[in-house]
Formats: sequence, structure tokens, C-alpha cells
Amino acid sequence: MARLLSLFLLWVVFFSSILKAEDTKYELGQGVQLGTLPLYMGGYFSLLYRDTFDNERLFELENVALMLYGEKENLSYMMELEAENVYSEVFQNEDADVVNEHFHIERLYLEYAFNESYALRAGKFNSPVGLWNQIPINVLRDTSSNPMHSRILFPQFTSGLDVKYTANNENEMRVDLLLQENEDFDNLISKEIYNNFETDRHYGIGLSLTEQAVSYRLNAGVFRTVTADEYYYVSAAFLYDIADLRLQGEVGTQFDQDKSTIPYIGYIQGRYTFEEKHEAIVRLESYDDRSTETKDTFAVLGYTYRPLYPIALKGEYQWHTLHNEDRVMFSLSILF
Amino acid sequence: MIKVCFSLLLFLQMLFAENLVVVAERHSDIPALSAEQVRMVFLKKRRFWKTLKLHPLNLPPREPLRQNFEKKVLHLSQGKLDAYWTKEHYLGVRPPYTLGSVKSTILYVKKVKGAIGYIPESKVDGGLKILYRVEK
Repeated sequence: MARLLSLFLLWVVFFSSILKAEDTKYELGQGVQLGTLPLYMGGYFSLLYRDTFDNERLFELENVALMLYGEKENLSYMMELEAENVYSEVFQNEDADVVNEHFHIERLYLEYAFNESYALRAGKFNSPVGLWNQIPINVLRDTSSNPMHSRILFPQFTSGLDVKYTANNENEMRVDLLLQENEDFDNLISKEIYNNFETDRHYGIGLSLTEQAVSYRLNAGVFRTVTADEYYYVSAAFLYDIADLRLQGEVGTQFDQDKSTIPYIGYIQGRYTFEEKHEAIVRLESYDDRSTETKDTFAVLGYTYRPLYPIALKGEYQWHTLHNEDRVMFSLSILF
Repeated sequence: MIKVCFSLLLFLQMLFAENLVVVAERHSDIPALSAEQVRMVFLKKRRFWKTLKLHPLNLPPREPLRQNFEKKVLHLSQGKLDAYWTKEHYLGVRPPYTLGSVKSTILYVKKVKGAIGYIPESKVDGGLKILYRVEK
């Protein structure tokens, strides 16, 4: 913990000295340029309180991350290091407290744009599957919790190639082709696999379209875990965004060569900005996960206050059909 | 009384406001653009024209010309734009480069291939090519 705190303080001092040295007009949530280099630095953290009533009550420094990115001519680059579940305090059960100061590679990639239509991304990146997984960090997502769809259906990260095609037409058509035939890139620094599935293979294809206020996304893929289990997934998503209202939904299914492992999973969510900086969120989720024999349907009711967009104070309550799964969550998250 | 004066000033500003134009350097290969194409360029959703890297330029945030452009072309409120660029920061994309004045924009556009800026139509000279006209 002391080492993490030192690193954090070092980062604050470094960040402040850049701002002072360059007399930069810093804007929260926009990062800062390192000197005159084509390189920008940013980061984020989130604090979470979760109460599952009869089961557990915990306070957690959910994650701390540092991002470095930039672009030069046709090349762009991104490195993001993240420590997750940095500090957890489980009330009335000190043995369950956790301190985890280890940083992982969350994203590390180079992208080369050949022209207006084709680009190749190589490295580790968020799998371009569905909507939620594109911008999954606490401060930028709608609720403190993530929908199950983005947690158990497909690998959240891909360590390999993303061949992108953009049509540049009126409906912003984009196609992604995913190719992974190796283990997670976090192996490079931690000898661990930092992903929701411990994959060593992932092939996928995605198509996204936008028609005025409505966006659609279709994905299909196959991935293999290091224990040689292979799963196929299909996912469909839509987003309707108009004025103060945003509706979105994602559904999917997963199966292996013999049987259906997740016959269905999905959610539908509405977000309404009822006053500037104040958002109300309602989400209904349902899934059937045969691998863990868990079948649940639940509702999430949330509220988010953003004094500035890169600062989010959130509260949510979840009602589950499963016993002992109801919970209340509060979080504070900031993007630098 | 103050309200009346303010309304009158706004009315006069509207009356004498002129067209905004989106420009590139005179010999640019970029053809006339549609409103949607301009929007895509300034939101950095489109970053190349064929193989040419595009460099959209902004004026300072409080500049009326920029506010007019954002309202009429990007169709996004200040709140939505803040949210948009904060998300893009996470995705590793920077907002358009901001220059301090229309004069700087014109000089930059003439000098840098792929640079695209917006200026009042009256400032257009022979060294510039109009890609899109925003009617007042």
C-alpha cells in the first residue's frame, strides 16, 4: 500500500510540475501534453462502497490507472497501466481485507492508418464488442456496476490485431476483424492474464452502423481459454440517443461445441438527464449462465451527479430475483 | 432596460452576422463537403481524406464564431461536447487544435496540408478554398 501511495504522490508531483513548467491551461478530463512531444498523459481512479446486506459490506479503491497516448502522422499509440481492487476493506471481516498494489497492462497498442478506410491496431485493447465494453471505466459509464453482458459473454480485452474498415459514409459504417493467437499481453510484466477470461485465442468480427439518432452493433466470435475450452458468442446492440434521453440494449448468447453455455443474456437501459449534471438510470437485466448454474433477472435503479463531466458521484440499488443478491452501491470516480 | 439593450444587441448581431465558411488551402484535393462530412471531420470521426491526414482547427471556446459553428454544424450543446471529448480522451483522441484568432487560422490553413478551419466569409482570399458554407 505504501508503495502505491508513493507512486500516486510521485504521479501527482510529476503532473503538477508539468502544468507549472509549461504554464499549461489544464482542463480536467482532457489530460496534459508532455512538453512539446506528441504524447499526452491522463489517468483515473474510482472509490466504491458496496453493501449486499446479509452478505458483505465493503469499501474499495476499485482502480487507479495511468494513461499515455498520442499520435504522429498515421501512427497512434496508447499505453494504460491499471491497478485493480487496490485496497478493499470488508467490514466486520478483517481477514478478507485486500491490498493489491500490482499494476497491469490494461491497454498497450499501436495503430497505423493506411488511408481513410483501413487501419490496423496491434497490441492489447478493449475488445470492440457491444457498446458498454468500448468505454467501460467507472467515471464514463452510466452506473457503478457493469451489466453481466459485458462481464461473462466475451473477452473484455484482446491481445492481438484489430483490422478496421471505415466506410466514411452517412451511416458511419465500421467493420472490425479481431485476431488473437497468443496469451494476454499482461504476461509481459506480471506473468498473469489480466482479462475476464484467460484466453490464448480470440477471433471475432463486428459491424457497427449509425442511422441518425440510432446506432447498431453486431458481433460474433470464438475464443479459447488457456485450459483449452472453446466458446462461441453472438451479440447485438442498439443505442438511441436524442436530447436528454438515451436508450440502449444489448443481447447475446454463448455456446461451445456441445451445448449452450449462456442461452441468453441481455439488458435494456434508459438514461434520462432530468437536469443539467443530474442523470437517472433504469436498467433491466436477465441471463442464464449454465457454466455456473446461475439464472437471474434483476433491476438497477441509479442516479449520477456530475459536477463536472469527468467527476461522477453515483448511487444505485439492485433488486435481484436471486436470494441474497440485492445490493446498494455508491462510487466516486474522476478522470484526469 | 438592460434586458431590452441586450436583446437589441443580439438582434443587431444577428442582422449583421455573416456566413461562416469552412476552408482549406487553395490547392487542396479535398472537395466541397456536406454538413455531415464537416461534422465528422471536426468530431475527429473522419481523420483522413483518402491518404491525406486532416487537421481540423478550432477557435477559443468563448469565441462567438466557434459557438455558432458548434451549434449549427456539430449540433451539440456545450455539455454534450464536453462529454464527447472526455470520452475521446479515454480513447486516445484529442480535440481539434485550438488557435487564438481567425488570422492565425488562415495562416495555419495556408501553411499546413490537410488543415481545415472555419472563418467569416468576408475573410476568404485567393489562397483559400471554400469547402462548406454555413448560412447565417
